Amino acid sequence: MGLLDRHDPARGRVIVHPTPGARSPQAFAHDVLGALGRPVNRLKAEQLVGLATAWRAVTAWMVTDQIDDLVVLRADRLTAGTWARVLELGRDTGSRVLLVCHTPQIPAHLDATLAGAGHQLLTSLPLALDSRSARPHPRLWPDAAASPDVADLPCFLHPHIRNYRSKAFDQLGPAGFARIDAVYRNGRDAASRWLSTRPRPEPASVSHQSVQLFLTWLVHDSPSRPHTLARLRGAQAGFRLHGFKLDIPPSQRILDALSGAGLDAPLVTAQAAGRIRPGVAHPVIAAGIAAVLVTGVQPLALASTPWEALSPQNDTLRLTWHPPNRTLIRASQVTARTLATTTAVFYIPAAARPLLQAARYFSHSCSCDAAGRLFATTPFSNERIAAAAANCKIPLPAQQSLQAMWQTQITCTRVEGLGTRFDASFADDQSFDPGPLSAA
Amino acid sequence: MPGAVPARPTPRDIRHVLFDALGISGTPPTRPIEFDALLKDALSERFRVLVCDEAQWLSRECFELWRHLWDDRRTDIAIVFVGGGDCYRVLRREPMLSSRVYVWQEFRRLDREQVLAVIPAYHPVWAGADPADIAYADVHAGHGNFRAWAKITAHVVTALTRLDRGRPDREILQWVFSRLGGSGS
Repeated sequence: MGLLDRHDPARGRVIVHPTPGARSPQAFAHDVLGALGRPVNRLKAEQLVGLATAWRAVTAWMVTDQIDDLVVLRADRLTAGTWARVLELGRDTGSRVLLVCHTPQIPAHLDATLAGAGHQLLTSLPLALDSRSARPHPRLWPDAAASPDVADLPCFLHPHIRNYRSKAFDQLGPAGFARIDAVYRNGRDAASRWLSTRPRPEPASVSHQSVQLFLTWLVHDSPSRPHTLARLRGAQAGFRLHGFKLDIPPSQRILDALSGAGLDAPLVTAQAAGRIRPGVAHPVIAAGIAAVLVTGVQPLALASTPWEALSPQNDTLRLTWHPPNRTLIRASQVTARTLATTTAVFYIPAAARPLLQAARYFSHSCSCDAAGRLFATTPFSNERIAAAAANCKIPLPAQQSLQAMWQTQITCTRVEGLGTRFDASFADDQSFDPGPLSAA
Repeated sequence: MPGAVPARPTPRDIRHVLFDALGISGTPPTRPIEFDALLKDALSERFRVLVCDEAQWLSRECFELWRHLWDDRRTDIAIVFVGGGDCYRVLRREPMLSSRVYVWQEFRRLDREQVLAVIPAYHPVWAGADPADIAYADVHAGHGNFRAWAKITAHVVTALTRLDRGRPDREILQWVFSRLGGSGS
């Protein structure tokens, strides 16, 4: 087995074969992008032709794809400038670089670039191959388990959790109740688990944004709007059991009008991410597609997203919309007026995180003043993201404003405990047992 | 696949010749990596034999390109390098390429016996020719070289047409030799 056959990006090893007749450092950067599985026919369209931009994209993808070994074949044909870039890449990414010279000795002008760089001279192929074998590559974010509640659910619009389960039995009968109750209990138990792990003291620990994040996580892989509604009703019950009153938008609006996770935003699966990676070379554009899929808002609305909107673990995206102030006011009134802003928090599925991580890395490495924006280092228009998504054969959701996202309309407040008629009824409903018919 | 390559081709020349020979639609890409990706796509559609004539004139970069295309796992091609003079030595000088050559086939001059067997089958004008006349033509002009025999044959066809004769003889061959400027006297 030759080195070329050891190419296995999924296991952290990339073998690059420089394009014959193209000796510039940016041409080699494009070779690495190609070896990483990025499309080389999108370089111009995605403005990755330039030297600095191409290398930044390479670095971002190398880090995100967790490449441990970068093997460069025919390295003796490259320029000293390219060698210097490759060594820098190794330093920036922590990857081991193997430069393969098909010559008796390293050419002098290339050998000079190794000065000061820790390196080892290997003189045979077996040595190069055996010095470190590709290890099984742990993925940082394994795919989420498939959702257990995939069966069709009846539409059950009952808005009150104090008697939700008994009403479901009355209206849907044993079979319908069994299906909707399984989803409901799933949401309730998840909420109980989440709340029981929150740090004390409450309620400060249950912030509005953390509730949004939990709820969007709860429904992000929901197969339908009725499933989402049932999970949210269950979550309301779980919150109530822990002394919180969770209000969600009306049932009919969840089923018909509102947008977002679990409603009309498609789930970013490993398959979807697997279509983005070979279809988009630019980390920011790839992340843009993923962000539009996760949030369901227009790319233009994402363009000014600050770095800190993405959590360090890349699992949360927080978007804020400031309403435009088109009313002329006196300067003295400015500080007195507080315009209501809309904040929506989105759970980022595991498959989308590496894409957003790559965008963050790319944006951070920009020497230009991008004002700390996640997507600012490339023209980030609706048309560009739509074209890139079309190239990946990924349909984008109907893009709504942030105010149309259901999670922006939830409220969560601490409430007094037991003793009210509501709580008595709620407790009865939680213990409601339809008997053996529930198995129907 | 036909395609004219300049006398001292560059990798870019070869890419463009392949682009035309493969009948790829659209405009050739400007960046080599894009160009190669496009060629590899086309060369993976079905098995093809690529014949590279005058291989002795190719540079190292050009050989690298051929090997690059052949090495790609997706492409399904066989490459035949054809050349005269020191072609063998030139190819041998590229170890990464020559180590991949499956068969080396050297073509030498036809000996007299081969000429007498092959030339009558090569063109109808020689089918009924006296073997002694064929041997005579080979001694004075053919020299076991097919390209020389192609020229002889073309002139013989012209002479037979003008003189309205059915097969070549010594008189016609003498005329042909005079046209060739060789040792026909």
